[in-house]
Amino acid sequence: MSAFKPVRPLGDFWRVLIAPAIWFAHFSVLYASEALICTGPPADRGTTMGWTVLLATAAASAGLVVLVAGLLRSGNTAPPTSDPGGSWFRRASLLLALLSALGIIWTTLPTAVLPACAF
Amino acid sequence: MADTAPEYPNRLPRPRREQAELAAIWARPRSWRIVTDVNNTVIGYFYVGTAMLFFLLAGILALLMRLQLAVPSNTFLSQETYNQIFTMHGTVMMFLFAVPVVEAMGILLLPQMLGARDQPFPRLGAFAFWAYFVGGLIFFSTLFFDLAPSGGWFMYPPLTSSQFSPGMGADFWLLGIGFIEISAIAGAIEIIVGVLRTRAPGMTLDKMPMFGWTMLIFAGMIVFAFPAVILATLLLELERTFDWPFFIAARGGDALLWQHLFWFFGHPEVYIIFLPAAGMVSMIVPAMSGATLVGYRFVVVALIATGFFSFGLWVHHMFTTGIPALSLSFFSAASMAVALPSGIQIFAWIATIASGRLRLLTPSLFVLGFLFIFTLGGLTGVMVAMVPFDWQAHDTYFVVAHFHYVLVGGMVFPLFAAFYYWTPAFSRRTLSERLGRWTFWLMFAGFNIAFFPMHISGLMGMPRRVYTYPAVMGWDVLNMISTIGAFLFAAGIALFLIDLVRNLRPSLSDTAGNIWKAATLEWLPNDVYGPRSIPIVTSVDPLWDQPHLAEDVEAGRYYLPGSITGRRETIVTSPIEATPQYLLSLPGPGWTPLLAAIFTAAFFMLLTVKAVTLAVICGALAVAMVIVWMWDSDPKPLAAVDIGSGIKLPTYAAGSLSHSWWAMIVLLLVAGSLYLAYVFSYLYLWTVSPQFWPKPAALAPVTAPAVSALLLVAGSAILVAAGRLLPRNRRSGRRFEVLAGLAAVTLAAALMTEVSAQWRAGLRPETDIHGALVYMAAFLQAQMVLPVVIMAGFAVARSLGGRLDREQRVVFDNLSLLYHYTVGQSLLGLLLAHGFPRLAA
Amino acid sequence: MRRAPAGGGILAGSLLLGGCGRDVQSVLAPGGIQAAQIADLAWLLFGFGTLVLAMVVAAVWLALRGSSRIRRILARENAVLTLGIAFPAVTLTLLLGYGVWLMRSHLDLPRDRNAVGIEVVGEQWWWRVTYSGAHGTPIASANEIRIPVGVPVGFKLRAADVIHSFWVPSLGGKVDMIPGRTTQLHLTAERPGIYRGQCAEYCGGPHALMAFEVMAMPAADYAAWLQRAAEPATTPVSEITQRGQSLFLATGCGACHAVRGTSATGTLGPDLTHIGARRSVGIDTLPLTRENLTRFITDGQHVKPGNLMPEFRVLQPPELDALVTYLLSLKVADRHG
Repeated sequence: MSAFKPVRPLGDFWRVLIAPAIWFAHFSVLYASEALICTGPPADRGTTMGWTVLLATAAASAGLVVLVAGLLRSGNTAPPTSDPGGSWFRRASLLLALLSALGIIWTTLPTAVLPACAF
Repeated sequence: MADTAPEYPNRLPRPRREQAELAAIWARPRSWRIVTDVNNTVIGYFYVGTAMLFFLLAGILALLMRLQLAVPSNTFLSQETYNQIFTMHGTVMMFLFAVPVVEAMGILLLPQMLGARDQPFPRLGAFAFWAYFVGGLIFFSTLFFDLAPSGGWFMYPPLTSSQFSPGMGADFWLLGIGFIEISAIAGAIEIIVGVLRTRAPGMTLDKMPMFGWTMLIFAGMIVFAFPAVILATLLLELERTFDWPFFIAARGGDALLWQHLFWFFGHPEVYIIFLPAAGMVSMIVPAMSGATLVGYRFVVVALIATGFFSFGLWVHHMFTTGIPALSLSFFSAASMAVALPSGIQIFAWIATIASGRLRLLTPSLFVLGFLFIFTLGGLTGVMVAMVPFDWQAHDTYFVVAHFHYVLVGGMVFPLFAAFYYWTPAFSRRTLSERLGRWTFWLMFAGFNIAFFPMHISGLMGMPRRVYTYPAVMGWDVLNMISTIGAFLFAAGIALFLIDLVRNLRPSLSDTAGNIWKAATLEWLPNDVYGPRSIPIVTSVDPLWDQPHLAEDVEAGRYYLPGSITGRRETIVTSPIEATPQYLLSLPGPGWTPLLAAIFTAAFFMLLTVKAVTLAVICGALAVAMVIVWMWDSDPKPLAAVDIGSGIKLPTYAAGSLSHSWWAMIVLLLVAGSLYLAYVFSYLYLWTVSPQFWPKPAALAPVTAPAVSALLLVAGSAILVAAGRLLPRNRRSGRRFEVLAGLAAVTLAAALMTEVSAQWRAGLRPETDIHGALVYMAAFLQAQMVLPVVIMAGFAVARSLGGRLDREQRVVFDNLSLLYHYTVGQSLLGLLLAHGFPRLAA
Repeated sequence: MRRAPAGGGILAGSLLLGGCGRDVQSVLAPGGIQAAQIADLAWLLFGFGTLVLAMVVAAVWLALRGSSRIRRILARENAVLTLGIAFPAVTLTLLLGYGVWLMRSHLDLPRDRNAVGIEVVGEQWWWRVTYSGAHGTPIASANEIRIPVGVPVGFKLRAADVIHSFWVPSLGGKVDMIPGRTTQLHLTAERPGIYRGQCAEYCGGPHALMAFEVMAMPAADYAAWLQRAAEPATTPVSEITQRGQSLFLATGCGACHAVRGTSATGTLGPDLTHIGARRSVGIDTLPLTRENLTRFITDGQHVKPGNLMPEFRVLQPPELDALVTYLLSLKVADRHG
C-alpha cells in the first residue's frame, strides 16, 4: 500500500509557527521594555526606548528575512508533490510571515509618534 | 482532486457475524446506566444538552435584566439581586455555556469527522463532562440561596476581596469557575490528541476538515490562556482565605495584576469561543454551496494567526487604567492585526458562496445572519481598539453592544446553523425548515433590535452594570426598544425548543443521513461504533471526490470492519501525514469517571463552604477513583495485528509514539503556562512595588537553595536510574520500586527544605507581597509534587502488581515527564526566590 | 454661571436640564476640547464602519445573486487576499496612524501651564473632591465639581476602597481610580454648562447611583467661587438653625462629616461645609430640596440602597426640620462675591 507517506518529524509544522512567534517575541520585548523603562529614571527614557525598539525590530525583521529566504530556497528544491510536508506548509508559512510582518510594522508604528512613558 | 481509486484494505464479503460483534463490543449501557457510558456520541449529547441548558438559564437572567432596565427607576429587581444576576449572566454564558458548548460540539463531532471510533481518552472526556455538569449546576443554584457572587464576571479585586465581598459568593465563583476551567483543560487535551493522532489514514493535515483545524487551535489556545486565569483565581482565593496580599496595595500588591491575568485569558477567550464557530461555518458554507472551501490554506493561516495575535490584546481591556500611552498603542496595533485573519475568513466564505450555489435553507440563513452581525461586531471592535475612542466607549453600553455582536453573532448564530445542519447526522428526523426560518428571523430581528440601540445608549453616556437609571438621562426609549428586542430573540429560542421537541429524535444508528450531500466523514453511515470501517482519505472533500466511499465504508472494505482484538479500538495515526502507527484499545463504560467527577466537584464546593475535613475526604476519594480507572488502562501489549493490505500495526506504543505521551506533554504545557503566568506576576509586582523586596542580607542564606537544588537534580538522576532498572518481563522490579520511591521522597524533601529555609529566615506570606510571592512559588511547586508522589506510588504499585516493565512502560514514561518538568519548574522557582532579590539589589 | 437665587430655583434649573437630558452625559455632545476630538474620531469611525459593512453585505449579495462573471471574480483566491488582507492592511494602517496621532495630540493638549489641579477620590459610593486654594491650602468638597471654562484642569484621581472610574463624557474620556495608584486626567471645558459624570467601573452595591455633576463656569466666576468655598461654614444666626447645628453635633453627624468652623471634623463621609450650595443630595441621586434631604437622612437605604450612612430615624419631625434647615443654610459658597 503506497498511499501513506513516511512519518516525518514535526519540523514542518513547527516552522509554520516561527513567524507569529517572532511577532509575539517582538511585541513582548517592546511592551516589557516600556514597562521597565518607565520604572527607571526619567532622564533618558526616550533614548533607551528608541534603541530598544530599533534593536528589537531589527532582530525581528532579520528573523523574518532569514525565515522567508529559507522558505523560498526550499521551494526551489523541494519536489512540488511532497504535500503536506513541502509546498503546502511552505506557502502557509510565507503567508504567516506576511501577516506577522504587518503585525510587527503596526507594533512599531506608534513608537515613532508617541513618547515613552507619557500619559 | 480525485486521486486514483484506493486499493481496499479488506476483501468482501465480510464474515457474517463480524458487524454484530462490533456492535456488541460498542453497545451502550441500557436505561439509567447510560450515565456510565464514555462513548463520545453519548457524552457529546449530554454535553451539548447541558451547555444549552445553561444557555437558557443565563438567557432567562438576561431577560430579567432587560425587564428591570425597560423603564427608568424601575424597582422590579433589587439592586443586590440585579448585581448578582448580571454577574451570573456573564459568568454562566462565558464559562458554563460558550466554552463548554464548543468543546461539546468537538467531542460530539470530531471523532466521526476525523474517521475515528471515539476520542483517544473516552473516560477523560466523560470525567470532564460530569465535572462540568455537577460543578455547573451547584454553581448556578447559588443564585437561589442568595449566595451568588455579585462582583461581576470579571471579579475585579479589591471589590472581590474579603474586605469588600465578605460573603461566600466570591468563593463560589473562584473555586467553582477554577474547577470548571480544569474540566475545560481536560477537554482541550482530549481534543488536541484526538485531532493530531486519531485521524483516518491518509487524512494529512491539509486534508483535515476545517472544524478539526479550528478545534486544534481552540484547544491550543485554552492550554496557554486558561492557566493565567487559574493562577489569578488561586491568588485571589489565597488572599481571601489566608490574607496573602496579592491585590492589596498597602502591602505591595496591585489590583491591576488581576486585570492583566484575567484579560490575558479573557481576550483570547473571545477567539477561543469564536474559532470553533468559524470552523462550523467553514464546514457548512461549502456543504450548502456544493463547492469546496476557497482558500483552505488561507483559512488555516488565518486561524493560526488569530491564535497568536489574540494573545497580544489583553491590555485592550485596560485602556482606561492610566497605563502609558505608548504601551496602550502596542495593544491597539495588535487589535488591528487580529482583524486581518477575520477578514481573510469572511472573504474566503464569500468566495466559496460565489463559487457554488448557496441553498438558502435554515443553516445558510444562520450563516448569513452570522456574517452580517459578526462583521458589524468586528467593526465596532476596530473602533474600541482605537485608544481615544475607547476612553469614551469603555464600560458603556456601546461595549455591551459590541461584544454581544461579536459573541452572539460570532458564536451563537453559527451554533444554531450547526444545530440545523448537523441534526440529520444525529437524529432520525431533521429539524423543521418552516420553524427554522421563523426561528432565524425572530432571532436575527430580535438580536438587532435588542443590541443595536445599545451602541447609541452607550454613547449617550449609559455605563454598564447599572441596575437603574434616572428618567432625565433620556435613555428610556432606547432601553425599552432593547427589551422588546430581547423578548423577540427569546421567542426565537422558544420556537427552536419547540422544533427540538417535535423533531429531534437522537439516534446512533438510524439517522436522517446526508441530506445536504455534504462532503465530510461525519456524513458516512454511522452506528454506535462510528463508521463500519475506517476509510482511507485522499481529499479534503472525501465524499465528493472519492466515489462510492459511503458504500465501501459501510460494506466494510476499509480498516477495522470488525474488532481485531475483541476490544473497542481505533487507529492511531501520525500527526502530520496520518500514517497508521498503532492500534489503540479504548475503554468501555464504567462508574469511575462519573464518581471521580462527583467527588472532585464535592471537594471544591465543600472547600468553598469551609468544610475542610469533608472536602479532603472527597478529594481523596476522587483520587482513588482516578487510580481505580487508571489501573486498567495501559493494558499488556499484544502481538502486532494485520489491519489489511499488509499493514501490520503494533497494539502498544510507548515513548513519543504513544498518544498518552502527547497528552502528558500538553498537560505540561498547561503547567508551564501557569508557572510563566506566575513568573510574570512576580516580575510585574516587583516593578510596581520594588520597595517590598528585601535586601540580600535579609534573605535566607544561599546554602538552603543550594541543598534544595541538589536534591532536585539528584531526584531526577535517581528516576533516570530507576528507568534503567525497569524489570524485564516477569522479573522482580524490587530495585525499580525502591528507586522510584526514593525519587519521590527526594522531590518532597526538596520542597520541604525550601519552605523551611524561608520560614526560618523569618519570611511570612501575609506580611507583604514579596513574602506572598515566595510562598506562592512553593505552593505551585507543591501542586506539582503532590501528583508526582501519587504517580510514583502508582508506578510502584503497578510494578508490584506485575503491570509495569521495560515494555509496558507508559506509566513510567509519564511519571518521568512529570517528574523532570517539576524539577525544572522548582529550579526556576529557586532562582527567582533566591536569585532575583540579590540581582535586583 | 448665573445662579438661581434659591434651592427651588436650582431644582427648576435641574428640571430644565432634564429636558435636554440626553446632552448632559453624551459622548457626541462635547463641551470640552478632549471630548470634541474624540467625537470627531467617533464620527470618522462610524463612517468607516458603515462603508466596510456595506462592502461586505454587497459582496455577499454579489456572491449570491451576481452575474456569473462577478461571481467568478469573487470566487478567486486572489479576491480573498485582496479583500481580506490588502484592503484591511491599508485602511487599518491609516486608522491606527490616526489613532496614535490623536493620542499624541491628546498628550500635547494644554495641561500644566495655569492648570487648575483638583483631586478626586472615588469612595463607595461618593466622590471626595479637594480643590487647591490660595497657597495650596486644600479645600474639601464632595460630589460636585466646579471648573473654570477655557482653562486646562488636571485631575488627580485616587480610590479609597475599590476601583472606580471617573467619567464626564461631555468633557472627555474616562480614567480609572485604582487603590494604591494615582492616575491623571486632563480636561478643558470649552463652554460653560453643567455636565453630568458617572462612575464607569462597577464598584458594587449602588454603583449605578454614583453620579456627579461638573459645573464649568467662566474663569473669573470660578476664582470668586473658589475663594468663597475656602471660607468656613455659615454661622447659624436664626434660632432654628442654631438648634439644627447643635443637633448636628449632638447626634454624631460630625463623626463622619466635617463642617469647617465647627467641631464636626469627620472625614469618613462627604464634607458638608457648603452642602446648602449643592444641587443634589445623595450623590446626585435627588435634587437638593428640603424633602429630599429629609428623606435621605431618615430613609437613605431606600434612596440609595447599600450606602454607608445609617438611617437616622430616631429624630423627631421638629428636630429633623431644624437639622435640615441648618444644613440647607450652609451655603457660603453660593453667595455672590
